[in-house]
Amino acid sequence: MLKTRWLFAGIAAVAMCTTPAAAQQGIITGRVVDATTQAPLSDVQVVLEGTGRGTLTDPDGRYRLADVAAGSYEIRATRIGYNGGTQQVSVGAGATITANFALETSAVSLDAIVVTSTGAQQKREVANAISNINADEIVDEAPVSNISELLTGRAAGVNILQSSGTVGTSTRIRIRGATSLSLSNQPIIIVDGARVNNSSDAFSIGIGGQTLGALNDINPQTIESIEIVKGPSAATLYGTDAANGVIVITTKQGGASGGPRWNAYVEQGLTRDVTTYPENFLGITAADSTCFAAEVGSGACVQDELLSYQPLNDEEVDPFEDGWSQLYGLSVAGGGEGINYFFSGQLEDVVGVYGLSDNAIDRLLETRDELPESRIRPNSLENISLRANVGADIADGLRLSVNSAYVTGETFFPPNDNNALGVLPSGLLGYASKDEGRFGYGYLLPGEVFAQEVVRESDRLIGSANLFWEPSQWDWFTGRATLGLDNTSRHDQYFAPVGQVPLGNTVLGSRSSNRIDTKVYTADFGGTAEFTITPDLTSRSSAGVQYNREFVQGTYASGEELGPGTKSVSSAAQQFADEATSESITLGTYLEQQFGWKNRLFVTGGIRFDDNSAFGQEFDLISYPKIGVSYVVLDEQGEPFYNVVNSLRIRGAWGASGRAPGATDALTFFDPATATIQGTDVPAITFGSLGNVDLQPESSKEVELGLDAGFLDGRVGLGFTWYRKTTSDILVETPLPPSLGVSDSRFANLGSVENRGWEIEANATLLEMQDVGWDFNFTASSNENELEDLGLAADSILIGTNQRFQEGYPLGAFFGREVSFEDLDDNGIISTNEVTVAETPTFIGPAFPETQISLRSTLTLFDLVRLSGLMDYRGGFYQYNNTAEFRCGVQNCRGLFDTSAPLDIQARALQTQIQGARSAAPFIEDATFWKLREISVTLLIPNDWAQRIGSSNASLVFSGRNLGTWTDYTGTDPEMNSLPTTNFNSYDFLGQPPARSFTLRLNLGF
Amino acid sequence: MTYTRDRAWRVLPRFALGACLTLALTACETGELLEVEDPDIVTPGSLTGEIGLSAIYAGAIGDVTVAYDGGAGDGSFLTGYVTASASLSDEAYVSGTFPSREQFDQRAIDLRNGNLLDLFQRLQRARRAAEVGAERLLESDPEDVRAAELQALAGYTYVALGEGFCSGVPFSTATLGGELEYGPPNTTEEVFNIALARFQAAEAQAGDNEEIANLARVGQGRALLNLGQYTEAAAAVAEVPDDYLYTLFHSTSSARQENGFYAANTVTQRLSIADDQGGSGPPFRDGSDDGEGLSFLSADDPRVSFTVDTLAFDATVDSTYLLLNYGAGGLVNIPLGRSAPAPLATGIEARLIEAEAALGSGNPGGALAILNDLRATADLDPLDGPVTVQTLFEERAFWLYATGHRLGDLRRLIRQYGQSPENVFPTGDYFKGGEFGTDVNFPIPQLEVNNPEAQGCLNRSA
Repeated sequence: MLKTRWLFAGIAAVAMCTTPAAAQQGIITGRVVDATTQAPLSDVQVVLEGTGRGTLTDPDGRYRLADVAAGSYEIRATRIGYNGGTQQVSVGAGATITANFALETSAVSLDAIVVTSTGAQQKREVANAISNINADEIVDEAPVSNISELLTGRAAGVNILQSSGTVGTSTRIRIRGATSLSLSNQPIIIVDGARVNNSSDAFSIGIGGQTLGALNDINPQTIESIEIVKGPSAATLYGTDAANGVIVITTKQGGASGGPRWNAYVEQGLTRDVTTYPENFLGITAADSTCFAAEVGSGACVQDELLSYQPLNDEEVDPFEDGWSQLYGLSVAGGGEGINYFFSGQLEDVVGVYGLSDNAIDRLLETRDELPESRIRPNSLENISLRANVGADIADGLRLSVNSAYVTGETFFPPNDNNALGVLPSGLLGYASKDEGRFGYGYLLPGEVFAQEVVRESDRLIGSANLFWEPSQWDWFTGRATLGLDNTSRHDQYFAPVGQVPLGNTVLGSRSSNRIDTKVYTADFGGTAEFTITPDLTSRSSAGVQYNREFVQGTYASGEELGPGTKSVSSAAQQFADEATSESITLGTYLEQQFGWKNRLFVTGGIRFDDNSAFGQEFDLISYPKIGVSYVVLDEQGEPFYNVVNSLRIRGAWGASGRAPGATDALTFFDPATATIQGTDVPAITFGSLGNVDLQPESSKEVELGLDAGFLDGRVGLGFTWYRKTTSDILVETPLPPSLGVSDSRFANLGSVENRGWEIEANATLLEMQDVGWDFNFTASSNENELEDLGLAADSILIGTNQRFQEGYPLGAFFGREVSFEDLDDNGIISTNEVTVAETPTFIGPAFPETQISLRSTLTLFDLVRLSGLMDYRGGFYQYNNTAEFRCGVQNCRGLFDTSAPLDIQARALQTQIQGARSAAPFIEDATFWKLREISVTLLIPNDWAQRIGSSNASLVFSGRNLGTWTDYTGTDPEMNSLPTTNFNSYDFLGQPPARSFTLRLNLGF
Repeated sequence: MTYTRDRAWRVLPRFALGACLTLALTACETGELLEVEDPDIVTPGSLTGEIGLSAIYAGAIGDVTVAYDGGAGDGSFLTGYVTASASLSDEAYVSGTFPSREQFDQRAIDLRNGNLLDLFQRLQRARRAAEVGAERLLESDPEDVRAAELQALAGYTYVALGEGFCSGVPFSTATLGGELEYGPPNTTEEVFNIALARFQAAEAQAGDNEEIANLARVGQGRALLNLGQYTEAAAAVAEVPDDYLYTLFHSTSSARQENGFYAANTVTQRLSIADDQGGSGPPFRDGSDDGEGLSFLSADDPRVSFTVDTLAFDATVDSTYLLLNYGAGGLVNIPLGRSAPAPLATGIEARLIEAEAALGSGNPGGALAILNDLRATADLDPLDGPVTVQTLFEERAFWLYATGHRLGDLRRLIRQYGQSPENVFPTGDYFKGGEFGTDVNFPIPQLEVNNPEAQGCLNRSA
């Protein structure tokens, strides 16, 4: 009740300035075209300066702004890739005036509108680098099926860490490096003004490593644009938790330009596992006993035969079938007098690369009448997503925009990775002969693995109501209010039918049924006042209040030893139940002041104050200040420097942000439990955590310097940014000596982490002719991450067995004991005495890429065909090939048996057999790679052809994804990670590598 | 739109007022707005009255149960003392794949081993929970017999730390307010003396509650055996009846409450009954001169009854041998299961203590009579005698199988009976590759370096 009262208080704070007023109104209409080709330009932002009013052009380049109060305005048209255009217009009462634009192409536009925490601003005003992804253009032609793929390789400094080729699984996002040892390093996500759940772990049942993420519930087909606010210097006003950056998503809103515009698309795809899995090896003597290569070398045995086999590569018994995808979507956008709308619906049906062969199906059907579809194709995703965005002028100067998306669906995915019940572990840890084990599998056959049903059913509603207030009598003022809700209801399930998964106790049947509700609330109230103090000096003042609440509640039920014919926990002989709740609230307020000089120099200062429910009792508010300067040395209207440089802006910013502790990190508490007293279960407690009343947020401060320049008549654009981000008071999960008999750690604010690097975003129009256009985009970034000070007596903390937080090194860096070897007897075989394992571990390398490069290019021919491609490079990082090490541990890797194997492969395998001396270091490999991520060929169907099928425009797109990888990494894929939800832990362990996919898509506009 | 300077400055104060009011709204009463509820945690302030004391009492027993005989149902295999010590001794071998567990089995334990940390931490948590629980109960009622039970259970956590870990175990304390008091290292002898003090206090506190008094008496006997005070040990357990049985209860109510040995052995097949582990061991371990170790399986002894499953979680392991019962015969005979109660203190152990005291005092005939009386309860043929140390320890091994006694016994054979570690612990080739190491106990985990008083192991000898 109290919280509700506060919300109304916030609304009142904005509404107090409201004064109803009436004014006579007019209409502005027009058309925007390419100045060179005279082709109409769609999706151009047309904005009435100083009012916040705006719209987008339709595919014919037309726009219409109705209900414009009579008066004089500056109207501005901007679009990525073009110089902005402005005109002065006077709107008379009841009059309709026309303002047409012909925009020049430009690789850099300082007039582009970016969404900031205080509303829309021109890029020239903002002192930070903000990457903009024009999603609307990309999704029609590129093979992207989710936001992770949309972000990959399209923004400098944004590292999307794929983890698996399993459909639907999660990814990690790191922007300008990791800052926190203990807290999430994921950026926050804002959709149409509302904060949304960005958890990378949105599945509660452990199946070995992979899980599902929350981000990919957002349908990329409905996104207009994505802006990436990269660091604290830009994200200050987003407050606590924004230290890892902010991804601001704006969905399509339609336009106020008349009749409905329909768009439909149909996509069909094919997915194939193209991995060649490593063979299982075994050397045997004539007497059929095991004979290792080292024993051959020492003369202890003679290999009669070297067996090798991999069931995963054998079409007769492998678990793979071609997957497919289907996508059907329909949307309508439009508007009328004071109203705009966008409605869309999409059906997505994706089936991954796992499947039973016809033979396997027939064998299983010999003992049963039918098989569930999930057993035949155990990895699939089926989603229905709907979106309804409506904006309307509800009163004079008052505009309400209601945006809502609903996604419902289910995702099935198979156990793998660190799970003996998975099919890849069964194959990779299996036998060297099809005659051994079970067709060479070590544990379960594919049909038995796939008997396990792992599914997430999810219903998610993301909605926001945005109120824009532009009082006609106070045309210097803009008020904003946003209420947002992201509500996800999940049902996570696991089912192993009794008798069908014959390994360990699972054969008795197992069931888990977890229901989890996640709610993220947003209330955001703010206002901006813009003044022209003198003809040259402008002022922009903003203030606001923000409230965010995240609430997660889950009830967990599981059972083992099921009855026949049932999948209910109720039937289980052993039943377990649990419940978990988590709640976190942030309340913040901010002030920002910007002064502009001659529309060239902009100085912005601001401060945000935050309080959070997770701060310690002894800690109160935290403040995050910022200041930034943007200076336009030369804009498009000026005289070019040396006829080469058309525009130049230099910028610098400093700012702070933070990360709140976990919801209970500051508290001392016990965990509720049950204990058995004299055979009866009774309520009990067990020690939960030793708290810290002084706990406060981590504080990140960042300075960034950069420039944006346009060259050669705007054909080449360059953005360069250098940054240095220091995070202090980092929350360290300080180890407690176990002899205390309490929790094993408690949080304390200690130490510091530094990230520094540079980012380049460059684009060029290499050719711009009547019939040929060729664009090239280049993004590159570096990130050097270093733990400056741990704040403990010890200089390092181990995370897992091979990674550390160690002062002077990147967070999560790999360490290991070096293994050296020398073939002393020169017999081509490494024996135990020829391998040396160092006593102490040394630094091997970082776990995250230090360098990223993306190359994108688009070639357009005769306005008929468009060819696009994306190459992606990640360098300067290492991956732990745990699959290879573990296979040697279970004695089926090549290096142990094959006397012709390279000596380094023999040595690293052999040392796994030396108890007490073995090292993972030889398996921690340089994972640098180049990938051909995407290629697409778009056939732009001529309009007269399209019109024959009743369409106004149409295109046919053929595209491919994951088409090639170039790397020295010896595992299945350098991006493979079986621990996708952890902050730093990373290893490649018996998981499904990314698959190759091809899609054919038809886009139709009506 | 352009603005005049006058107009702008006229409205600015009004905007500033709005901004200030906005700020003012957040400056007051934000505490209420930021209040959250977490029903999943229990704050110290809520543990009041009899309900609170009952939860503290039950929690302490639960922690002791998990630390001593749990640690598998929740997936944390070999982190309960019974399973961990079984793998380090010759009772069981690791039939799973994880190197951290294999280190126990192979007697080559790294200080950073996560299972080692869990084992040590759970015993220390159980120790503190039992001690603090006893204090809270006594504050409320000085006659509360539950305090005696917790004091005795605290004593068993010291016994486990003494029997299982190297010399140098520290005991520290933390207050709920977050203040830390670091403890210095204790020699193995000091650890058993602390245990003895806990047991003696428990017996005194137990009053006429014989069940708890006997729990304390068996504990005293066990501690005194470890101190080499055999006669005193026998005296301590003299009043304990043959059929006395104190068990740690298990349940399937939650995964952590499951019987740890059953969960690791039968449910998940990460641990298997060993047979002649260590291959080339001396006759001490099986009473024969066949050059092999103790034969739990091939002895065909009802006290270690088992079945075989041909699947294991490691391709190098052919079969898993699954324990069916605790004990045999009329005194202790408990079928294994997820909820099977696990013996902590028994009349059988009391008699075995008396037999060892008799042997130590030069009365092997008395020892033989005691052992044969026990064997008769399980319909086992009587021993022919004469009773030797090796006979006695083999009888202990079978009677007390999977109850957390074997590791302590192996160490006592070295420490008190002059055997060499190579003659007592598994040696030679390890079946998963390499050779057995030299550990005869668990080291103090690396994380204890955060205790400025700690010195790690004072020594690694038995």
